[in-house]
Amino acid sequence: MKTSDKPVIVQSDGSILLEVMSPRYEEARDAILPFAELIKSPEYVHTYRITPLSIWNAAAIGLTFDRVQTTLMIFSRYEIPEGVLFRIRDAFSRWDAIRLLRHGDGVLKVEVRSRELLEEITAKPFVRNALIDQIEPLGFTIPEDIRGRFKHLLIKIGYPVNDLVGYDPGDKFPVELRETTLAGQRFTLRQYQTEGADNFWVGGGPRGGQGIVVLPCGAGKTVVGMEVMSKAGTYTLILCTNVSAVRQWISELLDKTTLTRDDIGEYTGNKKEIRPVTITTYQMLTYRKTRNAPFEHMKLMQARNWGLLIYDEVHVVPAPVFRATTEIQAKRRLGLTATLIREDGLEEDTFTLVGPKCYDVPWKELEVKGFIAEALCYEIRLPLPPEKEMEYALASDRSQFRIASENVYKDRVMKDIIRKHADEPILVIGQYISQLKRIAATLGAPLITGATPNTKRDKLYEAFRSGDIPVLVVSKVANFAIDLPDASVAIQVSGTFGSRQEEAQRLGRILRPKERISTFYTLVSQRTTEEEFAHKRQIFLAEQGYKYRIEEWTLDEINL
Amino acid sequence: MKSTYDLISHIPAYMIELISSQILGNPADTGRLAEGLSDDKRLRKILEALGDKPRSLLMDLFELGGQVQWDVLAHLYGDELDEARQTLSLLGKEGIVFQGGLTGRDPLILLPSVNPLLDAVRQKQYKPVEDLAWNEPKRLDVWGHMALINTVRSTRIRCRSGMEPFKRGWEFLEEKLGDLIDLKRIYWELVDLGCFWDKKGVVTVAHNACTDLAIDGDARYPLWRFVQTCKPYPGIEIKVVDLLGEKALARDFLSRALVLFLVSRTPEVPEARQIIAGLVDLWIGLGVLQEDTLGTWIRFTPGVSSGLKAGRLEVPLQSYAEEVIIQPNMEILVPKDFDPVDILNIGEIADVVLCDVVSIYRLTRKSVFRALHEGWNAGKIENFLDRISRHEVPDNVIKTVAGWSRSHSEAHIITGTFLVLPDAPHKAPQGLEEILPGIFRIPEKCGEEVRAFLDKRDVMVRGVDLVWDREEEGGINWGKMMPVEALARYQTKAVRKEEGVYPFGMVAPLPYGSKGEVVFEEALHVGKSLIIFYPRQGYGEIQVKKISPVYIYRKGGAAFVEAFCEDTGEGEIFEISKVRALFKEG
Repeated sequence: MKTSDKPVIVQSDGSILLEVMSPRYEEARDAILPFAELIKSPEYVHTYRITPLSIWNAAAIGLTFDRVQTTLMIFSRYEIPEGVLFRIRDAFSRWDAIRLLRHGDGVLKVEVRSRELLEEITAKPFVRNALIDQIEPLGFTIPEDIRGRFKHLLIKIGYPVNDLVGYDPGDKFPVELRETTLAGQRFTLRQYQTEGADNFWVGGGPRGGQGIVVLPCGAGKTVVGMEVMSKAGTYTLILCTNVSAVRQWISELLDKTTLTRDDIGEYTGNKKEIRPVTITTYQMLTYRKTRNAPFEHMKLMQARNWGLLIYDEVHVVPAPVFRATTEIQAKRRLGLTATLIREDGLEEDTFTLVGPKCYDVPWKELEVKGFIAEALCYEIRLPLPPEKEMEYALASDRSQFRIASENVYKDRVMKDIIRKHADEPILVIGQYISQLKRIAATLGAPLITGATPNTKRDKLYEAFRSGDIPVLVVSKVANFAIDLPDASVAIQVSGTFGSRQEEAQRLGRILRPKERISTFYTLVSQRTTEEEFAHKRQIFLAEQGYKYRIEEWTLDEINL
Repeated sequence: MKSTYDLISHIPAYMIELISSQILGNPADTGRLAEGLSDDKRLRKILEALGDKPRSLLMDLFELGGQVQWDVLAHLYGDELDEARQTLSLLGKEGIVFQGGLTGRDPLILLPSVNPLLDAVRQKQYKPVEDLAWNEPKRLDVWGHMALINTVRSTRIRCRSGMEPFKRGWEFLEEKLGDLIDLKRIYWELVDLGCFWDKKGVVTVAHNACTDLAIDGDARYPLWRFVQTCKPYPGIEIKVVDLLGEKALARDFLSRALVLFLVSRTPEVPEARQIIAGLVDLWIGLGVLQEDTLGTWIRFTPGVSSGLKAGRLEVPLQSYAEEVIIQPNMEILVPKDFDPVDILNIGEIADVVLCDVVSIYRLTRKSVFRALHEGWNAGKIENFLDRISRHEVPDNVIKTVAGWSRSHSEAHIITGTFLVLPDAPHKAPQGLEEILPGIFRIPEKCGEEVRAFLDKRDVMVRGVDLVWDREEEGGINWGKMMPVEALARYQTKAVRKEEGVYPFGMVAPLPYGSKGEVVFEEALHVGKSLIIFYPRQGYGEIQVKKISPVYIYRKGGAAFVEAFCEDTGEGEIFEISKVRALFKEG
């Protein structure tokens, strides 16, 4: 494959390969990004995919089939497979075929583009039963309370509804962004954060108010949320992935907005505060005592006259929350995420119930502009101590993984790494407490685990931040502890390695912008099951575009 | 019939005068009749006066070799047969078309003297290739084959005996490749070519044959495919070679000639025209034939004609895409026009993820193990990747492959043929590998040599026959039909000499049953004489008699005619049902 000035290759399955080394890479990337989702971005060729959803997202921001076709033809090295063009045209033809508008109090009007489609829709039992009245020439009315379910049903049969009903503004509650943070730093929005918020808001009209802003880890998605809150000036419910994230939102809101602690409610296992700005977790909303019991806390969604809902990490919203979201379609809904790809394939639900993608910016662009740090990933392979080899061979699978993870040679290699990065803040992250205790003792560094009291954690974080503590050893609390201070070196001595999320979170610890390149080390025992997990991680990180290096240390090198 | 004289010699002597009177206008002997029929001026005049349809009918007869079975003509003309029969009668009256027998369904024979004139017409259907502008010839590649081979290699497709994969296997292949290639055709082609074989119910890739296909596919596959498409119609490939040679031929004429060929060989074939139209399009698609820019002329793509005779094309060195991209996530991105041999190599070391405009392969632990089994090692893989990769091969890829290679333990199960010679190891041929004392491994294909060597040294050899693994037997099987050999001329049925040859339509069988009786009744009524063909009693020999019916009667259920016979000058009685034919005068 020769590098050419046509860096795009359109595959028959709708995926797009984009050559990074091409001189026209950036131009092509910016051109295709509005209608194709980035799937993976390894070093040389990035993969995007055109799907009906990506096309509807594009149509929602005003792109046309001709424009997409022209773009592809300009940049495509080979002839575009006919099937792909056909599918794109078909997807475009379905967008805006059905519109939803307000008709009166509690009643919505459905406008349909053709008689055939009208008949197809009204033949569906759900629609037929809900239908109030036919409106000539091509329309009918439905009750407002089935707005979400109606949209959900139609997308299942391949028709996205263009929802122009508008929103319930909710109870007023002004929120202002500070110019100087509580911590005393000057605070302004970055350009892409402003664009993301503006694209969502669209002047406050019915064309905006629902959508998803896609930004890479560490790019400040929370800030986009805060900007939207200030535009909406209303009661806001924020849904997060876990308690740590809730706390982080609270601290960020206090730090960067005019909100006081009394304005903000924490609705978690420990506290059940409902205030003008309330923050909770998906887990909390979906909690129930037994399998068939009702979701006790789901009523929070209607507990106040919310004017805005923010879905943090929207790609992990659980199905019951989607169901509840169908009932609150009159509320403005903002999704924040680093990726639209869901492990469970519920992308359609995200599109319909939360909204289409309204802003996306590739992480590499932010890296180049210095908004996130450049990171290098190293995998260091080291042998098992000879005395452990027999034990390892005879152990069960689970034990084998632990033996490999707790390889004592890792301590020596880690010391070498710490020596190499002596002037940098270093996090040592691990899975097994006994191993971490040993390491902490060896290094003389403090250890933070789940059992560490918050006050002590805060002190240690502060000391780490100020540079008094150069090395901090942390357990898996680091996965989600968003208040964990930034570091430029992370050494992962053990981990579950199963979750891509965990990997991204750990890496996220070192991605805050800084002058030097951040480094992420993972220590792996050679010829053990740990290697297999490490390989999966390698693939994941490579596909995220991180440079990945492997070093193999021999016994001699370790002993030296 | 080789000549007009030969043809005339088949006309019964007693008919010569009659026929020459009819055709030339005056009675003549055999020689004069032959001369008269061969008269160039007369023939030219007749041909020039012919309309399009009679001319094309004549051309059909000529293209069919000048002698055609009636049923062939019936199939060719179908609904238009009556019209063709009338045309033939006209041509018969002019002495251009004859029929060899009295049944009315006997072979048609074209007057040999007309052949040179028709050949001149035929030559007008040809043009020198330089006089025309040609479309780019289509180029057939073996990418689809390589994709399927590599896909089969990456998985385990179980099959029934006869190599038919089970439903799940088909579904898997369909999912991977269904949108991109004509899956079933290519699968069975690979089976035919010996690239797949059945190893204990699993479709297995035959390394040597696949390598041969990758190396030689460009030169041989289009020809092989052409010959394969001809298989259902034996001899058609030879006919095409014969027709086209190195010239350009009018597409319509080529198609018609092939339809005639097809119907002449297998008159029962339905839809011959559609079959030929489909074949010609297919051959253009294969790049075997080439069409001019107007779509009216056809020729063999340069090199194909000689290639068919030699069995392979002279293919210029291919400029394949030069490099692939190896990504840090272990993916190898391979463009479609990459060298098939290297595509095959990539398939040995990596699993197919997606076959498409750019195919995606992935290096996995399993694929690397498979490669090690096939004789690769970490260094070889690294060098190979380094050679084909546009960019520097990512460090993590090299290290990971090396790691996998090291974690691969080796054991050897040796299968083969061994020479057990514990008592006289010194008698073993030098150079054999001694596995254990007195036990030597015989290299592949050297069994017979070793046996001959031992025979000479009075060593009595006992044990199994020297049978080798099928996979090791050899390379690809391009089949027996390559190269295309010279045309074996098709022969129509011999003309029945005893019944003679007559100008078409001049002699017609007597209508069956009462209709035959009516012919005699009418002659009796108007006082007309008839010339009948009647078997000589007791001999079966056909006699021609000119009779004037006198009386018609029935006896014992059979109809008889009593008539005055002009030849003998006596009255004779003829059984009407035995009259073979009538000569039509005037």
